[in-house]
Amino acid sequence: MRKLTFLFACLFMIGVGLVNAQSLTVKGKVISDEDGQPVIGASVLVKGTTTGTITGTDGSFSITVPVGNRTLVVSYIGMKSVEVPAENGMVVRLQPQTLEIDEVVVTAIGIKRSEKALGYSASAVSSQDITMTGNRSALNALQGKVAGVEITSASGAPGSSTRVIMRGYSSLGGSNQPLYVVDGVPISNGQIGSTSINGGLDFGNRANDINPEDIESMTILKGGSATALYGSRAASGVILITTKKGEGLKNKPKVEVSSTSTFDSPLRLPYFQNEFGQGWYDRGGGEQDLMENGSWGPRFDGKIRPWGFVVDNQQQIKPYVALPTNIKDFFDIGTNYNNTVSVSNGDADKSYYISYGNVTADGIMPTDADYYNRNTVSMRGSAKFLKIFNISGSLNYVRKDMRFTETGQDQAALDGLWQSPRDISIVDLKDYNNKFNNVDNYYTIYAQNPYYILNEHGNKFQENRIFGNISLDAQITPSLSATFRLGDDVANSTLKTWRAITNSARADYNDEVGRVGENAYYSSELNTDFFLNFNPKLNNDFAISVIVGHNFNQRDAQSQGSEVIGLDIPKFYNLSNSSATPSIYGTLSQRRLIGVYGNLDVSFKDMLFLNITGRNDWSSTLPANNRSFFYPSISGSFLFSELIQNKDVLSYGKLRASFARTGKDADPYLIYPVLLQTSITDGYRSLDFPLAGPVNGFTISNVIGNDQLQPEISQDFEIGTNLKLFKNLLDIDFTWYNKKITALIWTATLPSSTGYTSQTQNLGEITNKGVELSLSVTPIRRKNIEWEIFANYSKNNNLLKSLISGLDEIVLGGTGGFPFVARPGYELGLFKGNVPETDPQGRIVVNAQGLPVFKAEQEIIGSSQNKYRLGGGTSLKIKNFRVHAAFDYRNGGKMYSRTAEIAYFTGNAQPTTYNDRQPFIIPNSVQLVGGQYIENTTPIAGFTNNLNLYYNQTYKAGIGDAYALIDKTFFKLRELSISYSFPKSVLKNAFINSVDLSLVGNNLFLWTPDSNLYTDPELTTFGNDLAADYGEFGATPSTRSLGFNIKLSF
Amino acid sequence: MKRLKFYNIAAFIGLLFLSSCSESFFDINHDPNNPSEATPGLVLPSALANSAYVMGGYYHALGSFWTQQYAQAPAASQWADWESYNLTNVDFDRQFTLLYAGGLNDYEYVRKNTAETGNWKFYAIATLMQAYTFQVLADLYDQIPFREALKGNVIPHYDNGQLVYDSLLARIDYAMSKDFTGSTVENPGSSDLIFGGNIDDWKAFANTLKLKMYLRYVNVNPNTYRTEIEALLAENKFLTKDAKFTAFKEEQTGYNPFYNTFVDRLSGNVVANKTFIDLLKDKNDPRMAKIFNPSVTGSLYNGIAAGDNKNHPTETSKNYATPAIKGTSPVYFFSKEEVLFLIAEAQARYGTASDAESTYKTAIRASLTSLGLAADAIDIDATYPYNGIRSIIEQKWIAQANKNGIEAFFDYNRTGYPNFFTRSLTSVLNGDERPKRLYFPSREVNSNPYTPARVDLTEPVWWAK
Repeated sequence: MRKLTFLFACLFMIGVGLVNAQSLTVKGKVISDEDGQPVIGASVLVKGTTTGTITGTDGSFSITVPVGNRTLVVSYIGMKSVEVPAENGMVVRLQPQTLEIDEVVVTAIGIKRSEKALGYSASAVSSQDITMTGNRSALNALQGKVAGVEITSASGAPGSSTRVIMRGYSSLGGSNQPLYVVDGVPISNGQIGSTSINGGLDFGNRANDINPEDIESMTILKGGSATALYGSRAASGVILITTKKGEGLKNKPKVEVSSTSTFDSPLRLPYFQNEFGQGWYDRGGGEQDLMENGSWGPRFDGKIRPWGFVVDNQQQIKPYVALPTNIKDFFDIGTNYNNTVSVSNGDADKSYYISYGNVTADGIMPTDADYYNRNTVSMRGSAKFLKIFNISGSLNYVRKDMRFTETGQDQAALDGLWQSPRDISIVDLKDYNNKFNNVDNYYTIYAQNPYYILNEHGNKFQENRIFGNISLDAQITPSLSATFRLGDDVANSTLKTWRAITNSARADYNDEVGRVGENAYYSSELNTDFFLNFNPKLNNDFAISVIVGHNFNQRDAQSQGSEVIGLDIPKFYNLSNSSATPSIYGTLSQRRLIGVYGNLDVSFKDMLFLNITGRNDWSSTLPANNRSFFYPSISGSFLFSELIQNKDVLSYGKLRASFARTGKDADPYLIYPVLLQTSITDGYRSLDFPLAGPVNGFTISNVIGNDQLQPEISQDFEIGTNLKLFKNLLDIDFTWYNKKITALIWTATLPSSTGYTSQTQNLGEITNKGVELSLSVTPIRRKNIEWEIFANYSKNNNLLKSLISGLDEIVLGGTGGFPFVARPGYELGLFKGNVPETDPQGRIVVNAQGLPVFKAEQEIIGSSQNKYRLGGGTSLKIKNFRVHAAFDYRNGGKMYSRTAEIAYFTGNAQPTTYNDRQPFIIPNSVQLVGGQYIENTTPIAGFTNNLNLYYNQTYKAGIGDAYALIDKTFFKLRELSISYSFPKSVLKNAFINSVDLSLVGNNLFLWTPDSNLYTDPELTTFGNDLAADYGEFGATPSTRSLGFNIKLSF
Repeated sequence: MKRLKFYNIAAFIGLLFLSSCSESFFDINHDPNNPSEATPGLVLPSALANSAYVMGGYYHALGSFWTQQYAQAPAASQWADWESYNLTNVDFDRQFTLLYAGGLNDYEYVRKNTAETGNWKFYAIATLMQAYTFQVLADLYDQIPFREALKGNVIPHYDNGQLVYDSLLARIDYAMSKDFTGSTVENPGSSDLIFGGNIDDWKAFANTLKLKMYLRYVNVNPNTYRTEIEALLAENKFLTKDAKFTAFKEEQTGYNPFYNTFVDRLSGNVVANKTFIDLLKDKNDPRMAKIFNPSVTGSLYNGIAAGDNKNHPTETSKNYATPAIKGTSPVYFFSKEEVLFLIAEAQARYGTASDAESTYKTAIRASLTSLGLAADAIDIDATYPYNGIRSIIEQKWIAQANKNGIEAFFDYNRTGYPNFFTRSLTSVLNGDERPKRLYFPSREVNSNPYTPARVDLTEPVWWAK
């Protein structure tokens, strides 16, 4: 074979020699079609030869062409190449590349395919889209930019998680997060944290560890056909990340520096009432009560009054007035510094890219109790050798150091803050050693000084992570290549938590015996792929491509931890500092998956494309009989615009359709029954084995094994079209999809009378039907001015179609008295709460005290799912200035807000001032007297007894649990940047190639409906998946950040 | 040449494929973190601790609130709904689940494994303690899953309380009829956290439990178990010591459950009830200072009436006496004095009044000595003269303080004594109505279609008055 090639080469050279004998010289000029300006340095080549030249400063060229071959190929970076017949005095007009239709998209297992050949929707996002505002998270930077993808950041705490859901929820118990694939190798998206309402922690998801500056492009694959080759891991979509390489730099080293500094403030704080001050309802007549943390006291009168406890016969005084900004004043300006420097270079045979990035952020909470530091080092290189081989590899190191302020209700700084009376100046409590502010005399006995919590309790998280891959490609013949890829992602993390010994002379509530915990986590994900790619040349009309491959994946996790409760030496945090038996745990987990796959691409005349795939997986997590599962996909596209000659109106038109089945395995260790070391808890405290004696004990696990478990199967049908109109001024992409997931795996609740509380079962069916529409309009495109507007619309109808018989509801999460459930016939994620009893006419039934009566059974009172989402933005380029904005709008859905609930409880909520807190009759209410509903005339008593009960957890503002639900609708200005690029003329003789300065802002503006007085609806403290849609239990407020960015290139 | 290459590659893939199918390669799905089986000696302690945790924690607390020994303190409201009887089916749901999916299922595991191997001592202990636990649940809910319960994938029907009782009594007799001397019988030793494996103590426990259960029938038909009661009295082999769980330690994950949650964690909530402490004061009963700690402010033995906490806005728990249960206080399944009061009641109903009176006095003296007081610290005839069933139950109520609140509640439901409880000031029930049971727990309501329709709290259970 090699001989033959050599022979061809010889013949070729001879040919060149021959035609050279008869030649003529042609002169011409190359100009830009856009503005008529000469193109300097364009390449002019005689087609099929190595003969060529480049254009001069006026765009002119002169070239000798053989008589028999008069076709010239003219090309220039950023312009479309053209082939033209050589003629003396010719003028070649080059079109800008932006008009290039044939975009190349990276698809499954890293195969680059022409966009037009794809039978499914694949959204590509460029580096610029991700790094525009210097966001530390590439995922957050995508918010609102891609149709069909819901991206939510958990809170404003630095380094917090980002949740990505594509085309709705497709799994109940498993992950709904996409698979993240970096340069062809899956990486971990693990998350370390806690969703406990008595101390929630969030140390971020690992997909957020990637430095956005290292990313060249991202491709978002949503449907089953797009992801089928990735196997069961990809059932919730795939995000392909292609990193920057040194390729194509032609041996000119490139150094890039990006530096962003932004400053954060809370985006949304609750709107509290400012009419009533400190007090509690049971103190009679709305009298002030100086040890309360609530605002059920008297109306503000401006008089000077004492406050707090009498200490050493002294008491503080202050005017009794509302302090409308007492909460806001508590928060600091958060800082984010995000810096990256990279060096890269390459030539035809080898390349390298090395970068170092650092993010240092201190959030809006006072002190550095909310802190995020991320160091990333990325190294990649590639080299060709022995003619047919190419080896490439990458190594990424991530070091994270974090501190997170606990969320929830126990020792959480914010929980006390939200309950602060409207007249207490919180910043004045900062000196928590001051005798009036210390743990003994802090003004309320029901909460702890937030400054004390931030300074004295805490946690420290560290993670060292290395991920990378090695890929070896061999071009065995021109039409056959083989690739072997090996990737690993190893993370080691430690978490230390502590609480100070706290003994209050007055307040038992705040007492804490002191505790320290140490935890270590390890995770590894090993992945190999081997595949062959065969691209035989058939004829001009047909092209086929065949891939067969093998995949192996093994995921290991290990964690262990200890905690001691009851410390001896104050402020000394080590496991040795306790006489108590430490509580300890250690867990291991391992799973393996092997897949074999095949892929066939057929195209006809570059107009009709067909793709067929098949994959079989074997998973260790399923019972032996159900371990192997096969799934196929088929997709096609039809480039109907090829049939139309005149491209003035329709320059590009494509129809696509696809069908796929994909399977998904279960989590490990669900098949066999086990016993556990016993720990018995009433929810407040526990009795843990070993007991005094010592005596050890084991209890049968409350989860009963299931040896009949099967994989979840999803069937995915998708059709769509992509149209480019009016010379690409208008680009429309539309997709309709219908996805059905059967044999849903879920830990079903069993009545505990069975002896168990749950079993993992295949128990239902979900469908997701939806549409995605993306539009991009470029009303102006000239040399010095370009204006683009883009928008996308997504609507997903999620439906839990059925559950196995006997089951009419499953509990997805939430809190004990107010569960988050799913019911057949409805979308996932419903709120089930108490509702007032009503008479047949819908009037509220009240009791003898005039207070509402609740129904015995809870009812569905809302859904967490958005009705639709709208994203978009605009970009305006005028000369060297560029303005970019992106927004995100989500409509519909509800969420639970602890902040709202606590605002009612404490009388801080605005609705609690209804009727000046005077006795009132619940409007449109009735009493049941002798079996008859008669109009209610009993008012709810004022301050003295029941008014607070009416607003607190007992009577829930008369409307039941809905009082703590808020509308999730919002509009956010996600990004705004104004940048200036120094003109090339200014930099001409400097060693700098480019300088870009930007003013950048993230989440500058939030609009919510008037009914939402409490929180940013994006917040959650319930993890990073389906249960997160429940809402927030004291989440750190989201932030508005504003700053500047400098990008330099050398 | 090309074909050869393809063949090689196909073979390579085939090899990888074969490795995929090797069973040992995939057989890694047995949980390495938890055992798949355990000996009865490791499961029994867990089950016993589970029963002790619920009986000595929430159930004891509830019984003590509803028999007006404890009360909700001012400036706090954790248990205010118990005092106002404003319960929902979420209340005590966790305890139901703890017992069924914990202790009861673990006893069942021991019973099943030991029945197969003839390991009858373990079998007897597990059967007796499972019966005790089922009996309490039946008394709280009237109908409970029983015959079909604890069977994994079977969703169980509910059985009525009397059927549960009859079945439990038969189970006890069967378990105690076994030969405890065979070679297959292991000595439970230290894994028996109640009696250290002494089967004679468990025989006495069985007789005591049976007597307690027989006496539940007195309102239904006093003759149902007359013969059996008379035989038990004649045999007189009841417990002569406490059946108590003591394996607690002085740390947060090892405390007595009542102390841990009600005293330490949710401090400032539980104080002495005025009804109870005023009686002790009135009778100058020396047990008062043993049952309660004096108030922090003023060292007084003050109690607050049920539902009165809202009317004392300037006070906290520190103004009141609090239950003197400590971190390592035992949980009592039967106290020695409780057994004596049971015998006294049986004698009063089925034997002679003089025997009853004598046992009654022995019981009071046992109560005194159990608290470290002299047996004659009270002049019984002067202070608490014998007066039949009424005096027996009233004295049992006093003796059960801090020891077995839920049994005091059952006694009250069964006999109506003591009859001097005050109406809770926050009661949501009509007039002097009081709860006599709990609602079927929410988890059952939500996941077991056979759960009976909700029954009012005031509806008596099958044996109650």
